[in-house]
Amino acid sequence: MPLTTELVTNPPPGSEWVYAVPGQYIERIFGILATLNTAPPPPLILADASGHARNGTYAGVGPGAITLGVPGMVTGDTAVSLAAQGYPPGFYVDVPNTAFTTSGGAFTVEYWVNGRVRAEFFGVSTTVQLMGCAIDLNLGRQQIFTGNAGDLTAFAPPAAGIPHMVAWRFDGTTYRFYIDGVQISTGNVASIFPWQVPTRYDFSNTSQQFGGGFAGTVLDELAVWSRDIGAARIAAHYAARGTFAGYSAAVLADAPDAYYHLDDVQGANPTRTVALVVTDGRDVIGTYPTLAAVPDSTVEQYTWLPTNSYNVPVPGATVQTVAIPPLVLPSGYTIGTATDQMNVGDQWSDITLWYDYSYTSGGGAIAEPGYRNLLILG
Amino acid sequence: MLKTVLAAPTVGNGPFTFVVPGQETWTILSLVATVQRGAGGTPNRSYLLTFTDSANAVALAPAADAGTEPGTGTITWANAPAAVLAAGSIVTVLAPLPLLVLPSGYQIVGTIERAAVADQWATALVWVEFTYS
Repeated sequence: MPLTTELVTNPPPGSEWVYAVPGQYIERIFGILATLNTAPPPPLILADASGHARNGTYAGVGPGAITLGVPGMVTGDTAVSLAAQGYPPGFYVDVPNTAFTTSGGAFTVEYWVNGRVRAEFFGVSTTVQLMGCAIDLNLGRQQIFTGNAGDLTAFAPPAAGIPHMVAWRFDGTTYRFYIDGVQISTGNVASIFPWQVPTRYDFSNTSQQFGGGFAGTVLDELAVWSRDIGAARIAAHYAARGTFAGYSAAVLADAPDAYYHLDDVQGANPTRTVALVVTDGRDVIGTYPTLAAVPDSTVEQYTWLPTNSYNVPVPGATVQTVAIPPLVLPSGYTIGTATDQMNVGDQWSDITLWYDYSYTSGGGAIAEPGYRNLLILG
Repeated sequence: MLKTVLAAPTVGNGPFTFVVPGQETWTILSLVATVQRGAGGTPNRSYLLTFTDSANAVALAPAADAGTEPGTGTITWANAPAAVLAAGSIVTVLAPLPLLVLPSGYQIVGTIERAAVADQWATALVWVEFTYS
């Protein structure tokens, strides 16, 4: 019988494909093609250390926008660094809106930074900025703003190249801004802060106020309170900066509404391994493994052929030639995949069988130029 | 009967193509292609033969790249284990390929995956045993 190309229906995500030789057929398999698209890694979680489980997510992050696991501001900790980005921001920290419990009232925000950072708070509408604070420790500029209104303050830049603790308090009428536990500016800006409960903090290392981008900004230890914790506590936090354990304990002693170490690590699903499994409809009669495990976010093309195995890795789009013996399969026999550690988001597709066939009723023979005659007993 | 067939010249870093002529059946004994490898390509460039029945792909045969850029390469697909050898910018690759039997109308397309702009197939030759069908 002539060569036949048969397309196998894609299985649902997270499922294997299997092909059964139909009744009264014998099929001689010349080749099998299939593509496995593996799911992406699990979402990156912004873990809340306050005990309130107000975990957030990193959002709005483009390729290379942030680097996780860089040395932190506090000894023994890691942090996040921002790549040089233009405005809009390098990354968003989306936080469940239960982190603040008061609207229009007092708050305290504290974090560590080097260089320049623009921090903005957004509410339910992520296009309407509630308020923000841009600080450039290199230039010695700080501005608290909302919309087009804001206070700009100049100050003597602190020592460059080392991290500094930034904090700002608002008691409902007056804001106070701190660097390394020391107040450097204050103002009455109740009209600037008709703020509502924010759901997002976004950070960039550039600024409309000061212009330009700045590479290598590192951000760490973000803590927020829906009250004014007072100057003494800010000073106490700074005084405890010698060790990560000491600083963290000092912050937690004031019961923050949310506290993000920014030491999160991108997880990964287990790598998958794939084998082609041939059965007689009941028992496995052959298992033919592929050559390499498959990580997340990969397009892996397999071609099963009666030749030697060969893996050619191309980032994100590997092609593997996988050896199988000559297969002549009667009706009821099955061919399919067994994928170890298959993820619910993995997807098999483009499954193609290439074969010729004969009918089993009354027996027959497959004969083709270049091949030995194959007698089939019906 | 045996014969060799040379593919038409390629354009830029585009593919070469063989088409089994009408009323012939080919058994592929080997396919040899030479390639000019430009600089600045994606790391891990590879070479791929795609066999189609003119509508659907029925088999793939990848081959790895090696060596420095720019350079040249000779890729052989044959029924043998894989092997890769690079001496500076000169690359020789052997990639496995079974003795595929292709009826008339089937196509063999050779592509450079993740190619550099200056990549180009220089020659492609297939050695076949053929019969008239």
